[in-house]
Amino acid sequence: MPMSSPLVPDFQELAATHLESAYNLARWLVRDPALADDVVQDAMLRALRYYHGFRGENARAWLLQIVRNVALTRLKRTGAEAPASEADAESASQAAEGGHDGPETALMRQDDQRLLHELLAGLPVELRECLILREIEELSYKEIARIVDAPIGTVMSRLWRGRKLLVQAARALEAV
Amino acid sequence: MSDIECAQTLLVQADFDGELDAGRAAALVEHIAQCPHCRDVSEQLARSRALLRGVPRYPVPKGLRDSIEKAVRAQVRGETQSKELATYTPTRRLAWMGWVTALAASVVLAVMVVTPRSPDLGSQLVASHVRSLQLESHLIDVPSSDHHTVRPWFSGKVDFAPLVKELGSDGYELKGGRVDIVGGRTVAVLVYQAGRHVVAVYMWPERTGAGEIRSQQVDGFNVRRWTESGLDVSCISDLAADELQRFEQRWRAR
Repeated sequence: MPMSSPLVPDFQELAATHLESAYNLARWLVRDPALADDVVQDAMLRALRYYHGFRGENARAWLLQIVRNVALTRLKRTGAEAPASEADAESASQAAEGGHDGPETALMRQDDQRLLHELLAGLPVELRECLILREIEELSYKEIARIVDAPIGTVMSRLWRGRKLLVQAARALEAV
Repeated sequence: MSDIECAQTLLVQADFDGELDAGRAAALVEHIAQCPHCRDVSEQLARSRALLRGVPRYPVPKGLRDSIEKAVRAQVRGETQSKELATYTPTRRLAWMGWVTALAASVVLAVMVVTPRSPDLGSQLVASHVRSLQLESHLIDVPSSDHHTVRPWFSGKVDFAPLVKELGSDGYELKGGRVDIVGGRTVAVLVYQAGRHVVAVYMWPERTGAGEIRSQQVDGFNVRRWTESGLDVSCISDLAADELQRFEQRWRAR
């Protein structure tokens, strides 16, 4: 039983459909374009291997779960990002206040987009991923819980903490 | 500042995210009207969404789409017919591997190209094993030396219960397991470390007439195959033939 048609065209279509979500998540997790490329490619090949066990429900969540696992494994291996810790949760707002170019310069750059990226990127990875999945990918709590392998209650509190930190950081910038 | 200031905070958020049914949402509206804290929460939620609305998805780089499509096609081809593995070039990966490794890999592949061979089971297994060694992250999906971790990991990923044995006292350290595809069928793979050598054990449900290799040598790798507990079991390694035979004996003695 060679795994040719119709399995493979289906998989190709699934991969193509959700590539944007997959890449976006990978990019936000590893914060490096080359590594994100590699993570997505690796994740897709892995997904292909698991595809027989995929029951056809919610392909995007299923795929993003794999992307996240591959990304976190890579991060652990490269040490590119310190293991997620709650302790540096406050650092997002602090980073916005301090940092090498001060808030005045930051505001003068009129580059809100970039600033926001920095704020978001500065959040601990476990808060960041929930925000990305909710606000950019517009996934439900249930889908997010599945992807990040945590109870829904945990997802809810991470979302709230992430949002609050983001708003605080933005306010800190404006207050100057 | 505590994370949850009012017990209703997360409910307010759930409503904001459209996760509440109409009844609970209505009850919450009343609460928010009376609770200054929750009004503040609502404002913060709206503010955070307004901020994030400006964040677009990262655009997929040119070329990634094609390269994934090709890699998927190559993997499928490689698994249906090991001969075609010779044409499999994990381009992005090769760039990573450094030219020495790349060169070594290309020699292996070149040897496989010029050796005409029907894609028999032994070759397919070796092709799968070689590929797993080339793609480091492909070797093991569940890294663990504990069969209590590895065995349950397979459930839901393969439709049979693979044998998972710890052979540490025999000098074979269990490194973990993965799911792979050989000849179009999903198989469970265990990976052991024997000194500087890797031994991979492939398993799938036994089927009559599935082939007859007992021991075989392919491209410098030794393959041994037997049936056990209703499973078709094969081990593949660059260990010498007699050493791999010893592995089989120790495995089956467990």
